[in-house]
Amino acid sequence: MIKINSKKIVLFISLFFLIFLIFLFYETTNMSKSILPGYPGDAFFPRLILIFSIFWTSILLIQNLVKNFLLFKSVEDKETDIEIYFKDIAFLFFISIIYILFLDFIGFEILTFSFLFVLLVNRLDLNLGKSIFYSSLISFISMIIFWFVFIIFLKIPFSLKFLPFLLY
Amino acid sequence: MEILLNLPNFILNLFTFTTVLIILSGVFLGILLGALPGFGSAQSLAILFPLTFVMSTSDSLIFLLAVYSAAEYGGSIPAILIKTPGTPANAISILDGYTMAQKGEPKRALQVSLISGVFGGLTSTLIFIVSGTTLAYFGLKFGPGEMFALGIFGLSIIGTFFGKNIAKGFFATGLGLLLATVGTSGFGGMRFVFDQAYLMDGIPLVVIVIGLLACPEAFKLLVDSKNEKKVDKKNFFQKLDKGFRLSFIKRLIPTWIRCSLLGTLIGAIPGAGAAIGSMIAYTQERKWSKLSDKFGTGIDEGIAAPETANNSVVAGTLIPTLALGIPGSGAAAILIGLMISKGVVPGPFLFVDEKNLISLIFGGLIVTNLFLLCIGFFATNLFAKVTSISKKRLGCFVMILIIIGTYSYSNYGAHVLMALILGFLGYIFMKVNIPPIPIVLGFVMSPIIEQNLNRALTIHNGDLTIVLFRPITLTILFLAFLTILYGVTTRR
Repeated sequence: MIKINSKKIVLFISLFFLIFLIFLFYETTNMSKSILPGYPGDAFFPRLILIFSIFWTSILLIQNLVKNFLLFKSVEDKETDIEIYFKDIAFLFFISIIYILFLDFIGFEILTFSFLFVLLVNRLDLNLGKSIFYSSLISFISMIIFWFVFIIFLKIPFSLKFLPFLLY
Repeated sequence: MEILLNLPNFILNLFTFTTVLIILSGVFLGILLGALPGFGSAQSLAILFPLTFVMSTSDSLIFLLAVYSAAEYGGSIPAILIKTPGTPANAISILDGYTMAQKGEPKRALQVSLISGVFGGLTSTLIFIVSGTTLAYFGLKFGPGEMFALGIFGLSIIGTFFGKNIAKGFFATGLGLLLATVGTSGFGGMRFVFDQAYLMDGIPLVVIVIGLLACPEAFKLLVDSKNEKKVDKKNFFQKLDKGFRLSFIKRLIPTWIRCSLLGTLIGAIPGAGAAIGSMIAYTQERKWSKLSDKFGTGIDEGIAAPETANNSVVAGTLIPTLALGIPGSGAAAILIGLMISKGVVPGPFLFVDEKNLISLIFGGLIVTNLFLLCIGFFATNLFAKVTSISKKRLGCFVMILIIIGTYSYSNYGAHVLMALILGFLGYIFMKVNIPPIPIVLGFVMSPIIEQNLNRALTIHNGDLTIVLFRPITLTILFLAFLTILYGVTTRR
């Protein structure tokens, strides 16, 4: 867990987006020109949005850079220390990517079961044996429910290894 | 008028096995998700959005409307029982709802909330039928220039009133507008694609909706609640609690009528939403009621006022959404997105070209509220149990639902990755009070605004001054300017 001041995060976000928006503005020069009379070209609307966004991102940046810059700022928008669990979020990203990458090879059934099992096993507040048993059971039942809803009922073509795609 | 005349037939036509099943499941899932702390109507719609991929336009709209209406009521359950509002809109219900529950009458509090919500939902639907048609009639007189200005006006309200800091509100709105420009433009050119094949078709709405609304909540449930202690399974209801009695109706009718009107009116203002609606309704009812000094002590009027307004907002939000194509809330943005993805263009022409669909929406809202009354009344005990569910365990199912749901859209792993990245961004934004809903609203409104602007410019040979200086356009743009000025000068 990392504790970061909210002001620092907003400062980072606004600075990052400001640079990114300026880069995108430059990118609009590569967009196709108008061939129709009256049509302003593909870059016209994105440029309007970019000018608008650059203005408000700059305000956000100034709000956090300049002390006592109260313009556009709410009284309730106070500075706080924010806890961000980067490791846990990275783990969620990791297992989600594994799920997507191996879906075609391993199949919906095993991957859905494993995904739920991995998440549930530490969250049941039971001793290890019971936790493994109950998380396996819950994961299996949930996988069957998801299979029924998404594959049998909604007919979404997931890669299946042993469950049928149609019930009849 | 034709829509009104056809309404009884459409209501009767809704009673087919499939439609009844769709409404029942929508209401059930809506109450269930709405009852989860943090899951508002927009989040509930986001997570259930993938279920509409294979449904027809009418079925999917009815399903999402059922979820929307039910989720607004569902949010009051944890507010009344455990003092944790499902959504900000239900926060005010704690004052009297939780107090009444603590006095030993939780069933009564929940049923007053339910019946008030249903009354609000039905009344506002009737108002919606009349005002939506009238507004669409005026909307038909608008050209693309006026519709463009109306879109800008909608954005000005969204940026100004979503979030505590106006700069954060507009920053988020701009981000949403920009995300919608990724991909192929209307004239075949590529924008912000960076030679990536997966960006050529643009970012799908489902990715934005799931990524920004559902994913941050899943992260919050799984990560922030990981040290949550064991939840006690309480038996909330006692035998002495007799619940709602028919004698309450006569007393509550004035409150219901006042707050329905107020809720519908506030719902019709883009960006105002259910939270403002219920807050204003409670404050005003406190002034109007004969029992004003007893508000906050656990009286029926204190629950009825915010809950009636809260559910009235649903149909109220649909007035500008359907008649003008301007979504009034995050949930309405999802509904517009759904309509566009199914080939239906929201706006005044909807009331001319798609009369059957409009009648179906009206009928669907009425039937949904009736089903909500039945399910909510008889399954109070069941939904009360939802409040005892452990957040960290629930997060596991929300997370897998997000992955499967996003993947289902086009069996494309890149969409899941995009949703996760947006989810992380949304999670960080949530922590620093940058509201995610304006991003979704901006995303939905961006193509509507751009198309109208391009159409207006093409008609006037590219002369922007002719487009902007037409009397109605100029008036609407001036109103947008005044809205921003109000937001800048009033530090909330």
